[in-house]
Amino acid sequence: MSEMETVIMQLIIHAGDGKTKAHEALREAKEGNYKEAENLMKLAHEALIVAHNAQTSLLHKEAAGEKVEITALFVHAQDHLMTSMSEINLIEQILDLRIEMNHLKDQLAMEGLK
Amino acid sequence: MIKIKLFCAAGFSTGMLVDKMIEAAKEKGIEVDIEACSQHELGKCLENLDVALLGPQVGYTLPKSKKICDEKCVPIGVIPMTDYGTMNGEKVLNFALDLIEESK
Repeated sequence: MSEMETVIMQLIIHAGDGKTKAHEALREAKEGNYKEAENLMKLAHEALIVAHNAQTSLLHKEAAGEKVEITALFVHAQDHLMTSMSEINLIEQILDLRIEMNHLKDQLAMEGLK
Repeated sequence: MIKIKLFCAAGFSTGMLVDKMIEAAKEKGIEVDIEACSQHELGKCLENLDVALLGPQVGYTLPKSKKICDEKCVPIGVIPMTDYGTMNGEKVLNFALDLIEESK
């Protein structure tokens, strides 16, 4: 594999890993496992940083005057990174909502028992 | 003939891996039919399939994908990140063969 291909694959797998971790966090939060959800979100952000660093290495190259070849696969990899970033940010908001909703459900259940 | 399908977001990066897996199968002398598809088409692609592999970037769809595969009794697994990242055709082929073996 060429150096460029290696960087592209790094982008794709780490961006994807981040997205997977965020979705797992949502599932954990649904079950009320907030600590696990929090840990998974941390891992999601860490994965994004790794992917981002891979991309930055290419930007540095270009800034240094070295031509970076733009292939369809490279664009596809960046697409992965961007969608993962926005999805993880949205999932963070959804997690907050999920936690609030679970609390409200618990409260309602308690009141129902009165 | 062993039929394997790889699923990712668009069937793009998995397409690169397919070639490496076919090469690895040739060296091993195994007859294979390997294709890359989009995860969205998973439900339509399971006829006569021996094993389905998910790219790690769509690993989050495993619960949903597994449900669809279970209905058709097709084993499914997420390709390990390092093997995917290094495009290691031989290791991913072995991973697929192990999944088939385990499901028997």
